[in-house]
Amino acid sequence: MKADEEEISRIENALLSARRHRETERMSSRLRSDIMRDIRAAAPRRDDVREPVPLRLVWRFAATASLVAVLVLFYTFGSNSGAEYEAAAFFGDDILIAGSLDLL
Amino acid sequence: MKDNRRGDDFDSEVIGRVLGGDVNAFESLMEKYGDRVCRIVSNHVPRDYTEEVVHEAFVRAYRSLPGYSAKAPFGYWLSKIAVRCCYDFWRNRRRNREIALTSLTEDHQKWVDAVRSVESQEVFEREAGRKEAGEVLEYALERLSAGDRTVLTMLYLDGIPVKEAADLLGWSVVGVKVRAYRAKRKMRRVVSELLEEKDHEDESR
Repeated sequence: MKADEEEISRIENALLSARRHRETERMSSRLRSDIMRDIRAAAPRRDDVREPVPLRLVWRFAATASLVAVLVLFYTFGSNSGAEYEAAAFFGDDILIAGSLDLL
Repeated sequence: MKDNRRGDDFDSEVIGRVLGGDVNAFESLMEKYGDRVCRIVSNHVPRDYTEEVVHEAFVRAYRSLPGYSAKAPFGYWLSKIAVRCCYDFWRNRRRNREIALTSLTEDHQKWVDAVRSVESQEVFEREAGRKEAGEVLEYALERLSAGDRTVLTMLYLDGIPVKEAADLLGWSVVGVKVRAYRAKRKMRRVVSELLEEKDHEDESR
């Protein structure tokens, strides 16, 4: 049997009213102490606190370093034709490259 | 001396002290806002879990304090965290399948019958004040998702305006309206099934 709309509304209203009769809770001093204990445990100790490096400075440094690297690369390649081999020998330990540089 | 304990200046000063390393100063914020957070949480989660969620809300607030921008009053910001903790509580319980759906006892069925046949407002109010009413409400809410339950509780049970509910939950106004409509329809279906089940039982007797 399909439930009557009016009866459904009546139950719904009773449930809504039930909420009004609910007791409001207050914070106990025991709960406050428990929370403070956890917060003290989570807090960084004063001697552990170090000044963090600002993120903005890190990014500025990274951008500047990249730009300088690119400029040095262009300068080196532009002024010395054998720079690519020297760079390869410097960064790699490929014996063939190192050997071929010795022959030059 | 002017008592400024209730103002935003007091909150800003305490927050500054906490961020400066004076952790104990946080306790005065708990003294000031503890009851408010308890009230919000006890409206959303069962009594047995209220303390656990209040605890979580304050610890989360402490951890998030460096990100507090003072655009909104601290109490409001804290309320948002409390509502979010309640929502997460139900979402985690549903995800971990920790919700054991309760079934209704004979007392609850009697309550439903009493409300169906109630004729005066006075009797209606008395029935609504009975503990069975709260338990049947919990029975119905248990059958909703975390989001539906939270929205329904805020809008229909606590009477919070849609815009404020949306702000507290961090959802759009339209999203809250749609969710509320859907949640109300689901709730109606639960109540309808409850009545149909009861009628079916009566018929089979």
